[in-house]
Amino acid sequence: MLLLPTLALLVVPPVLGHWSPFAVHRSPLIGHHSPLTAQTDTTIPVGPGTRLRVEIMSGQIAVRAWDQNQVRVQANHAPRTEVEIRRSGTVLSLEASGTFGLPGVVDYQLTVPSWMPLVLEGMSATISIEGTRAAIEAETIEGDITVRGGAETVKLTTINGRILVTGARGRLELESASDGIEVSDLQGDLVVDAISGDVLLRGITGKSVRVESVSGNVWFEGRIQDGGSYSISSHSGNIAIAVAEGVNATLAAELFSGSLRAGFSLPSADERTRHEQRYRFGNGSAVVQLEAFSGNIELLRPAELITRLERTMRERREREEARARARRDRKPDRDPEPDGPGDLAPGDLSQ
Amino acid sequence: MPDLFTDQLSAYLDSELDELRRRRLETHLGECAECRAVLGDLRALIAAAPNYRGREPLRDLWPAIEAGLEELGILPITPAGPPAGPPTRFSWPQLIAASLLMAAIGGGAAWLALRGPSDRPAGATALAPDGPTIPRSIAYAEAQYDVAVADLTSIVEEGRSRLDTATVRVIDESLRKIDLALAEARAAIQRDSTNVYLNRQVAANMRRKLTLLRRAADAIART
Repeated sequence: MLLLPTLALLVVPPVLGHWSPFAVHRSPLIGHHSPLTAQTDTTIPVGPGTRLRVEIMSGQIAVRAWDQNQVRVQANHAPRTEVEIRRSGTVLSLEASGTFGLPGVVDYQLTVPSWMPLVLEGMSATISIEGTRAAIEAETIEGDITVRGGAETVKLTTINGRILVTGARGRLELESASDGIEVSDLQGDLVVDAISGDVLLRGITGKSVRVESVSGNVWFEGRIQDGGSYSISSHSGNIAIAVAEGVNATLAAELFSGSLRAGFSLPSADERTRHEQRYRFGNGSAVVQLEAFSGNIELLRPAELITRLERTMRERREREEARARARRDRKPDRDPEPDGPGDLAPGDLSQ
Repeated sequence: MPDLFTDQLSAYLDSELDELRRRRLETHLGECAECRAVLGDLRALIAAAPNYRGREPLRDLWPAIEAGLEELGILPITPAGPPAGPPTRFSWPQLIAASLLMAAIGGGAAWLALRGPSDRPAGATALAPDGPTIPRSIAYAEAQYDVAVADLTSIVEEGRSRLDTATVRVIDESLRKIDLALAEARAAIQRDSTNVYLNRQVAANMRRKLTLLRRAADAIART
């Protein structure tokens, strides 16, 4: 095991751009919020096959990719917090430790080879990853996770936070209890488990899609491929799915108190019971299973769904930017209005 | 686990699926880690059954599990030897029960790892009442599940001050939503007890609740 010396070289004034108001304000774990006046900056050569593991209690992990076989570690942290860099076999790990107990806030800026698999864990941490083309596993209890890129298997979990993924190539496994999930431009299979946030899926190209939510709305726009399996379920949220012309699918909609609406003419039902309706499109080779207990289900042509989805995403971003501005201005935490009523919810038949 | 293919796993193990369904399921298994895990569990159960001779319980949770397994025939406890009679079949309620049982055992294990065996909270062993329309296997698994939920809930209750208030709010609200969904699905099952969708929803939300509690307990342990 090679233990590289910890570098805490420069004393710099806190840089607001690196400082994480999200983590500092939301974490009760750090008894005192020391300013992030210490900085670590070091570059470590790595060979192919090396995995990066990062653990923090509070702060942020921002990862970018480059085309060098090196990992650059830049970190802003409190003077009494040290960043330990260890190499054990094929794992390079970064961990913060505090001189007197718990580590303070650490804001990492990491630059890694694009091939490098990542395992990132935080308690109160925002995580962002840009440009990697390898497996990612990221988990935080409170904080958002944003990924641009990713390949193989990308597994992201947060309890109190939002997940955004763009441009992944591989299998996505996402879990969030609140604040919702957004995925766009995915080439690969998808598994989503959400409790209350909305799930917005756009540009999905995978043969296996499984989305489950307890109370969130689910939007799905993607290619329903021959022989594929697409299962979307929300207990009390609404479901909207894009069905392109010429698709080959057997679509079953299971409803209890909600209703099914289509933005185009449906073929005559293969089967219709009190709670289930089944339709066959083309040769019916893909299986599409939609389940809503008290929500509604909408089948729309892609163009219509995209228009509504984009509007929802735009409105949501505007609200989030307003919240972020409020946080930056250190205004009292006016708790955000819950997503949903302000959104154009799928299945809202009045829209 | 609860997807379009799960209810075919038992028939698949017994080679009773037609060619088309078998191929579709195998394709799906190649893509779905959860179904592969359930299939592995089922295979393990079947493989373990003929050789299982019983053993001393390690914890007080075990006797109830063992007794229930015997009673339900989920895992036949018989002397070693070739199984007699038709191949083992799992009904949908049994699959749900087995799945919940494993989830519950996992939850209990998490608790046992964190706490001593003697400080179980009062009432943690309370059993869920057997409703007339709940299949017995599910009711049994729910009893174990209730123990695991009670254990994990007590950890979260005791440690909630160590988590951020916003996160505690999200956890509380999420649990409330899951409980509401569970209550609604259970009420609907009273009117339609054989509905596969409703049974899957109950199982999925029970597992979801356990996962959330486990994650929260884990976060508390890390502080």
